[in-house]
Amino acid sequence: MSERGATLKLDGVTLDFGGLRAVDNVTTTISGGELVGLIGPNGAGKTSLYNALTGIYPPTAGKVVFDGVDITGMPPHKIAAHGLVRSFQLVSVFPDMTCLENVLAGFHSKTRSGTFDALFRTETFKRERKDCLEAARLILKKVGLERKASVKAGNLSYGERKRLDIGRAVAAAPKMLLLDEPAAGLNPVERRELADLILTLHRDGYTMVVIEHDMKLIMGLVERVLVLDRGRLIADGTPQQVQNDEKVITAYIGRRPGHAGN
Amino acid sequence: MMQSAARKQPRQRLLVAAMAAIAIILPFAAPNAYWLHVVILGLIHTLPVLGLTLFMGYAGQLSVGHEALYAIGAYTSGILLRRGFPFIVAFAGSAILPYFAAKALGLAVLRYVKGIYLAPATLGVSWFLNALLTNLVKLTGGPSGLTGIPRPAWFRHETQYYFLCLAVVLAVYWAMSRLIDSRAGIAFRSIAGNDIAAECLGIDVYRYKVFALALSGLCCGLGGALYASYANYICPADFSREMAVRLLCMCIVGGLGNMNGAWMGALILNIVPELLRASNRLQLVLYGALLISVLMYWPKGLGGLLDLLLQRGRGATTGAADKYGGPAAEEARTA
Repeated sequence: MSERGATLKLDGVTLDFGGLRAVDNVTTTISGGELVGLIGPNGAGKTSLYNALTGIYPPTAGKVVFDGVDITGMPPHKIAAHGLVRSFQLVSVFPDMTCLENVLAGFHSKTRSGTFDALFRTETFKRERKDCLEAARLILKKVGLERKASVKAGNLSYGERKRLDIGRAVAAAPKMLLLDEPAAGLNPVERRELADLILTLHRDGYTMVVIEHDMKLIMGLVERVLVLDRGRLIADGTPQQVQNDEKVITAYIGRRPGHAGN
Repeated sequence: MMQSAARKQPRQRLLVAAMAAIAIILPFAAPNAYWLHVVILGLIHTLPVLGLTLFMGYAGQLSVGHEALYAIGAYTSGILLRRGFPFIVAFAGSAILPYFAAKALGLAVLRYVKGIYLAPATLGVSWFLNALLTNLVKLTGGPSGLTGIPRPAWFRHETQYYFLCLAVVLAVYWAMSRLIDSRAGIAFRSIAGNDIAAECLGIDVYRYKVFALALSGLCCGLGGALYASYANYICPADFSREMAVRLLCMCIVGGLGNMNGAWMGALILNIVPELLRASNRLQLVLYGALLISVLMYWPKGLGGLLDLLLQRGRGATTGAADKYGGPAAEEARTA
């Protein structure tokens, strides 16, 4: 589909915390080029699923295959280097670094220059620095922060930080982006901008999974929705299918009294 | 791309020139040998403080046991010189051994121990080392230490030794500033900012933490070597808990994560106690009060104050970028 895309296959992914099963036997496939929403009530295990996929908490059971490579139990930095990159629910930009430097951090696994190159400013170093600065500027432009390049991330507004977080993830040249509630806490204007950014990235060929609580936002954004409830994947389909799914309605608003007897 | 020297602000260039002039004249202008002695100690302490600046300031990891690495450098050099090895060998040994000692410590500790829990871990290491220094009498001379550690042939006189220390400090400063303004520097600072986010961007956090500690050990080791030859005599008491705390104070008073702060902190915290000596019994009280007021009024330390001075009259945003002299500083200058 897309040159940037890669297929992510989850096979019975399970994550236990002691006696608590946060993610329960999730099996699905996300193909290159897709834009997928991941929804579910609070505590459904959405972020836990991301944690299991990106290696923060290796899955207790099951298998994760990404781009043909079994990444189950790999350390997070290796998974990121394979092109599966996530953003965070709680803003996690590096506050004491400028926007530009935050994005440069994303290039880490795509660059090679080492201590020797840094000390003696070798050709490799100069070329990489030039390429990275150019690419970083383009990314900042894409997320609408080009004029804040030399502002420290800690001095940005909340919405700007959220966008920087995405820009930094984009810099890591992901084959698949896992966004964790990118729109949480944003005002309606910022939400709109963020939805536009996600659509732009999608058009650019990025494969994305988006966790989102705002149903209206997600329904207008994605082509496919996965619904988690108590760790289990209870629905998988188009926004319309999912919206009318009895199990999803039950998970979100509880059982309808009139149906209690059925 | 890299024409930062040419693009430096006039104010900055003037300051560098002034500091160079002061540094050259200082040993000849010092009122007496004692003040030169104090400054030399300040220069020597700058090295372990630069090490701390890298590990704590840039990579954001806590260590309360850096005097142990400083001690390893001093003892390595002391032992080698007393056995007649040439100075260059002793000096190299004092760089290499602490580097690997710090690396081993890092490999053991940094994978699982994080944040504030690094305090007891590094404290344990420094106790362990102190016990070794005290008890391996044949090697280290035990509690009475090692005497008669020579200085290198061309640097016997205080003034000459001053320039040796200055050269080593400048070399380490140069290397570290280049490393900080590179891919590794960005990785270190990312880890300090948010280690989980750094890991998820593809930065091997464990490896870079260990690397930062190992380089930090190297800096401490070089400082230790200079100290051993300078003092001619070292003993475990030179590398006590108090020394560890003094190094931390120098690092913090100078400003965490600020390389200029490192030498400023090291010099000031050597000079000020001497200035206060006249106050007799009040010396420690005044010294303590000074430390507290620096932390209260200039949490970014003396180095932060210097940055502020250099940036006056420039845009606030470019100032923030310039603080780390990173690629963003380039960006800010061109903008």
